[in-house]
Amino acid sequence: MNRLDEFYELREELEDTPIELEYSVVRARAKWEQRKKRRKLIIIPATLFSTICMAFIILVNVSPQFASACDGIPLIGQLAKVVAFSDSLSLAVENEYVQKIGMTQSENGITMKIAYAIVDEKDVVLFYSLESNAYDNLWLDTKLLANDNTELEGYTLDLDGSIDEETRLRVMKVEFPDDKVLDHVRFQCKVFDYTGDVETNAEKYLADFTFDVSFDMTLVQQAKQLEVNKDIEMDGQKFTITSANSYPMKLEINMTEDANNTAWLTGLNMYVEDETGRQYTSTGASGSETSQSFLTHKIESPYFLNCKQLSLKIRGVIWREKDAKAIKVDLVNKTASDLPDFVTLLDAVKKGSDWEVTFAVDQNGMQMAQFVGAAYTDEKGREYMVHGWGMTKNVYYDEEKGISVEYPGCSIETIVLQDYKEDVVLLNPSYTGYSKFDKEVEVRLK
Amino acid sequence: MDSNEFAIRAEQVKNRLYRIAISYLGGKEMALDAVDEAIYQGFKSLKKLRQPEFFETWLTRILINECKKELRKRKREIPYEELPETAVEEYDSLPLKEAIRTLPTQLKEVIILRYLNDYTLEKTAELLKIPRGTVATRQRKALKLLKLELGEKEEAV
Repeated sequence: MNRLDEFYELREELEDTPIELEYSVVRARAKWEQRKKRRKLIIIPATLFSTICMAFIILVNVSPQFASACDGIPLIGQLAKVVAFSDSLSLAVENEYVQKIGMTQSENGITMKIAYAIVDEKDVVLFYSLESNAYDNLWLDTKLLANDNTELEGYTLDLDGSIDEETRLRVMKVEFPDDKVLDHVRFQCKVFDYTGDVETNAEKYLADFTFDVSFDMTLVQQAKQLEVNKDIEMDGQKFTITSANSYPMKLEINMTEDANNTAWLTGLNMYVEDETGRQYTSTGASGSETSQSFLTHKIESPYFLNCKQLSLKIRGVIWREKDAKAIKVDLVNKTASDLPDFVTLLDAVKKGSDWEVTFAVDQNGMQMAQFVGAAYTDEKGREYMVHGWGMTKNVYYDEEKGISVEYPGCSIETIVLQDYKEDVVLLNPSYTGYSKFDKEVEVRLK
Repeated sequence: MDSNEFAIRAEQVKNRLYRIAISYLGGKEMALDAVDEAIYQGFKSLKKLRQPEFFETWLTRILINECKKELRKRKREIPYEELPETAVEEYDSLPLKEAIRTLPTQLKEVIILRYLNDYTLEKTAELLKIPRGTVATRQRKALKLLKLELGEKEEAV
């Protein structure tokens, strides 16, 4: 056979297509749909992981409807839907406790608007939008700067990924733990397209905005302070509830702990109830430099309701023993030692030079936050920081097998150990045990 | 373009995609995987396709990237500029299919697109993001190595 005959035979051969090709589009679509669901919970770079104690789930909004209609600033009345996730913010909006900001900047086809703010003595909530025709998952890397462009200290940023369909607004919460809210803050907002891929995501900035935002402090309402000073004991550990301060955006409950306690308090399953039976749920907690316990607890605010009575009700508690051992994970053999009995190692997968380690944490109705602490070490004692966390509920997608496995009642936590070359890692557990109380521990706050 | 329209148009071009993939990769399973992956990547980045009229070029480029990614995993190949003088004899001694398969990628892909899938010089240049003149040079070089006298075909695609 000469070369030309061979050529025509080869062309003919290429006309044969396998039967499996019939379902290529169906398979690809199914994979895409499944991954889309999975992406509801994505790896969050450690730099964006805002609070230590709260599991922070980003709901990626994949709506294609870019509101070109969003050129104007939405009306205050439209904010109610944006803040429906929070009782405190809903009450603030209902009471028109909102300041109009109305600032807009554009760069590289990306437009950022800061429409409104809710400001109290400790927190600021900004309503902002971020739009582009070219990118689907725009995110902010935000810093708060002083007038001299140095970064402010001690603030916490919470960027919720949810986008309100109608107004295109998102919510950014800034918490000032020690100092009062400043009347003028410079927000440096660097914009990137969040792909969910830790390797390619970070710090490819598409736009860089600086907003000098001034708040009208004459409109800020004063906190209502309640002295409590009541002792409680839970699982043999002793605490004093010292005070409760009510701000428009949160009720803050402050505690102290007994120095002889054998465990750090790492979580409280609790709520506050007023005289009408209305319940205010927990929104988070924070620690201090002097203790590893979380001794300041934040709850939805009853500020605008002028309640006559308020009671703190504790259903359960989460602990970390002061002498807790590190969790030793053999990444290669996928085994772990010293895991609490409600935590299971699901997988350890090497991705390039990184490791992704996944645990299932049986929540047992306790709303436990992320299990793995930020710092970890290798067997030689060298320290590293977790590069990113991913949290899902109830389902783990096993990439190797290409299947989703259900773990009812569990949170599924994946951590990324960036450029980690060792076979074994020592992780610090955020908690080692918990108790659920048959009878709620009750403390009258007011 | 929404995902339903994408699915319909992907159905229309999947045979052509498979032909390209199997020409690049040689094996049925690998070619199917590459087509599946390209269509999946297409669904995933559909919103980045701003001009639907370039749908086929866009999806074909995704597929070619997938195929090249797979080829890079294999043994390092000699760049065509560094092929020895004796290369013509070596290729000539092989059956055509095998000779095409073992060509350096830069030459092989021109043969695949131009002669096995009937793309024009312009379209091949567009798909490979290289100048038209470079396609012509590589085409001449490849045909010479394969001892294949096919001339300058210009079937429009």
